[in-house]
Amino acid sequence: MSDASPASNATKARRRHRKQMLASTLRVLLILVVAFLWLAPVAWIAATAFKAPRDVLSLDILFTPTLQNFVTAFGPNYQLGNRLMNSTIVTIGTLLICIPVSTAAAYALSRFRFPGGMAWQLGLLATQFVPAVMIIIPLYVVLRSAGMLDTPASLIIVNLSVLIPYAIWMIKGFMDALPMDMEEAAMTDGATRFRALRDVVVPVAMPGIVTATIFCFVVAWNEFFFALILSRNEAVTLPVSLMSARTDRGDAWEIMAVIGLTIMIPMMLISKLVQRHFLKGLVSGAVR
Amino acid sequence: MASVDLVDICKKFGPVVSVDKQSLSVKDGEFMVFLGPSGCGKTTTMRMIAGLVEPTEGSVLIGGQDVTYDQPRERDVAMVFQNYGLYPHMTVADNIAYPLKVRGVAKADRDRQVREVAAKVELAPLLDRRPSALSGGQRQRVALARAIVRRPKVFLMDEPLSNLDAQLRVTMRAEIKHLQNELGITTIYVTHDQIEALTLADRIVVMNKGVIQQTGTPEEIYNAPANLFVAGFIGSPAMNLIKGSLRGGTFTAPGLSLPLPGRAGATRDDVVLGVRPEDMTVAGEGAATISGPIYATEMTGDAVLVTIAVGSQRLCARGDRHFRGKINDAVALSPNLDYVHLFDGATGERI
Amino acid sequence: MNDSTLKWGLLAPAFLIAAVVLIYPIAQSFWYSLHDWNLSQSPELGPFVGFENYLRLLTADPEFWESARVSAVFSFFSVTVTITLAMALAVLLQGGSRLEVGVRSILVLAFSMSPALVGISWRFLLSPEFGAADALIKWAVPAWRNVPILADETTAMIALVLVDAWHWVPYFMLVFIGAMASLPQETIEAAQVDGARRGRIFFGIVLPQLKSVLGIAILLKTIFSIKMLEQVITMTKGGPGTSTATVPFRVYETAFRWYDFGYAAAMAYFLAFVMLILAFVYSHFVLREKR
Repeated sequence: MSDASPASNATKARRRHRKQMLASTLRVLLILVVAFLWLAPVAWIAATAFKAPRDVLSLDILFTPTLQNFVTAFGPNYQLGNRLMNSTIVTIGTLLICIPVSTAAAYALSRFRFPGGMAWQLGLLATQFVPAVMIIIPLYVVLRSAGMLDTPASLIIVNLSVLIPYAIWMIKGFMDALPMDMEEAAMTDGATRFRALRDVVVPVAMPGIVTATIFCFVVAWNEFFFALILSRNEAVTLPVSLMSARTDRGDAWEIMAVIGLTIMIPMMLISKLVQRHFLKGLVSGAVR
Repeated sequence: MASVDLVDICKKFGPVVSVDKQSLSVKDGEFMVFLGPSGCGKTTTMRMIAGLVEPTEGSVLIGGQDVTYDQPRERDVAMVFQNYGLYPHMTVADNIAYPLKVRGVAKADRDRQVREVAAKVELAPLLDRRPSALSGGQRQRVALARAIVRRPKVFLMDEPLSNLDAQLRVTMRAEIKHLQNELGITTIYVTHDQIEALTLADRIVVMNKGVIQQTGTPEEIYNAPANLFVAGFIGSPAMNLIKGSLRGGTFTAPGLSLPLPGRAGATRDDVVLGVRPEDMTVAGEGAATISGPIYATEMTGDAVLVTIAVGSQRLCARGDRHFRGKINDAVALSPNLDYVHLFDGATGERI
Repeated sequence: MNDSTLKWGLLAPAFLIAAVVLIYPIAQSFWYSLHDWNLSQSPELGPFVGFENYLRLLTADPEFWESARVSAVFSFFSVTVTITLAMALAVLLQGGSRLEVGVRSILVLAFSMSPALVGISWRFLLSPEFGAADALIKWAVPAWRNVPILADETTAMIALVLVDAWHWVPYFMLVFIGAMASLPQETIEAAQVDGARRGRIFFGIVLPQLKSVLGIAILLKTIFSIKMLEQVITMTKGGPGTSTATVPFRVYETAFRWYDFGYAAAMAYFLAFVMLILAFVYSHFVLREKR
């Protein structure tokens, strides 16, 4: 500091400033590359949904948009309307069973001691390591002999095997962090334990329950493997119907893009929520 | 309104004994304070009365009825929690109304009672707020209002003031005392703060390590502590405790000997003499029986605390606020012999 | 209603469902694995053969070991690439500027895509005649002009790894950003005051504090990679040849293409056994974190 003249200080500041400029320009460029790598594929698929088949084959950026693909997709060959309905039924059905059942179990596991202690928690964790193929083989046999193959109900049942443990783990993590004194207050105020659960615990745990719901929504909506095995014609969901675009008379990529866009639209609509909750859920489910 | 009786109550958490076979009676309308250091079992005892913890042994009686295995809601008690336990998703009015709602009180009735109670604890303008929009003192009032709105048989308060700042604590303390007096409801109050205990209580229960040490009025507890624990725990600064022996009615310890009136001729080894700082005055040298150099002086505003070294002991006296002495000046302390306590050195019991 | 009724009552629905859709299939799969049973030949369970399926698996099925090798290669590279890229992007995008937040939400959108959609989309983007990504790669690296990406054993595997990374990097990036945000700021400031440079701060101060999160992330991603199946089905169909046929894909084909349920169940159990070992390591990590 002692011999720093104003002039040399100014040069130093300028040099430093230039270095910072360079670094931050580089950083912004890098970020834009990243943005391109993740956005361009999605954008290209979305654009393809509006291209005439011959435009799909050319790689031009510019094209005349058409809605013909949507007409075709909803037509008898692809039955997109039916697929959309199936996906909706399966997803909503899964959530309607999964969330209340998991909330109740999460509360029980969070607040009561059970014989076996930690075994219950370890069991919940262990389900994450069971390969899907192991579950589906016997369930396929059972559902086949029950005549339930190719029904939305069978897909709901199978989805629960993945989602209930996840949802319990997530909601339980949230409930564990809630202080006990609120429900104790409710109980001394005269509520039964069940009423305290309904009036106090569930409303207060709502953010955790919403997180689990969104997580389960995303997983159920996107589920592919179980539906691929269990559905043929009637109960085909959107992700499985992607395969039909692939095999029918060569690859109908523009139809695939329409289906893909249909799968993505709900995700885009709730993307804010997904960002906030889905990832939080995964983190709490996995790391907590 | 009701009495509360604990009979041989015992609570174990695994191998840890939290409350060890204690019995206690709280009279109808009494303000009873459970006082003790953290982990002494006072909160567990209160939670057993509330029904939030089931006793391992013994029974709990409220109004003469055995409620040991009743659910909290069946006991008609109200509790104020340390962190208030307010329902964050409900407004202040809904919070206060909740105990009435679960009991099926009609809406119009509920609203009227809530307004009445809110007026009593000065919450009327805040009824539509959520707890998160309230200050600590206001939350405390909501918790109180929720407890008193249904006139329970017993109030239970678990360190209700510990989250408030010092000034607010004094105000709320007076408010609680006033309310209890006005409502006349049996109240059990848990605290580790002796000032709170002494100011609020009709009677105090001092607990340590799961065992009741003494039950008595604040005067009894303060003026006649039953054992060394109570003697050391109550009073600030703490009572001076000097190990020594009794020889022909005179207490002797290294560096001091003190003839005790009323103990003429008594001889006993291994005793502890206790005298409160406020029961000793600072005198010039030679005027009294305990003397030594000044170790420290502390100005507290209304007094000067004078600590002197006697042998290896340090004794503290509450001196006149105009006392000025330098470290190592020799002074003497003269105890008020009417308030000198003797304890058995082995058992700690008062002699 | 007392507490005991309530606690079992609340748990019962979840437990009953789990018994039907988890416990029963897990047990039954094991029972199948002890039988020689091809569903296309008989709807009834075939003859009991003891551990013969396992013996065949361990000693007489080179194709299975080929798939194990494919799985190992895929898992190793997908874990390495995903975690490294995720950490790099976490450092790049951890800030709160509008650009960073915006780009983060683009990445999240990619992650919330159905795995099947990811696979099919990239198959489209990488197809030789009209794939946009294929064209871009060949424009950028003319030497690869004649490589059919998904029809060449090496490049198909590379594509599978990179597409899997494309799908998972956003998630792990957010995990790392979250972990970094919760680090005590003082340690970094202290290092700055002590004169450390930015790279040095990252490798010397930040990364060591992320050790446990990083460990868990690596284990999690390993599990996900071993289980990964959708993109093999939708993107490469295990090909060319069997070069991208992972173990789960082989189990899937054995069960639902050849209907050899007994043998498929044995393979699934072998896979589960490997995962169980990982599960132990994982729960060890998670439980130690809790203490």
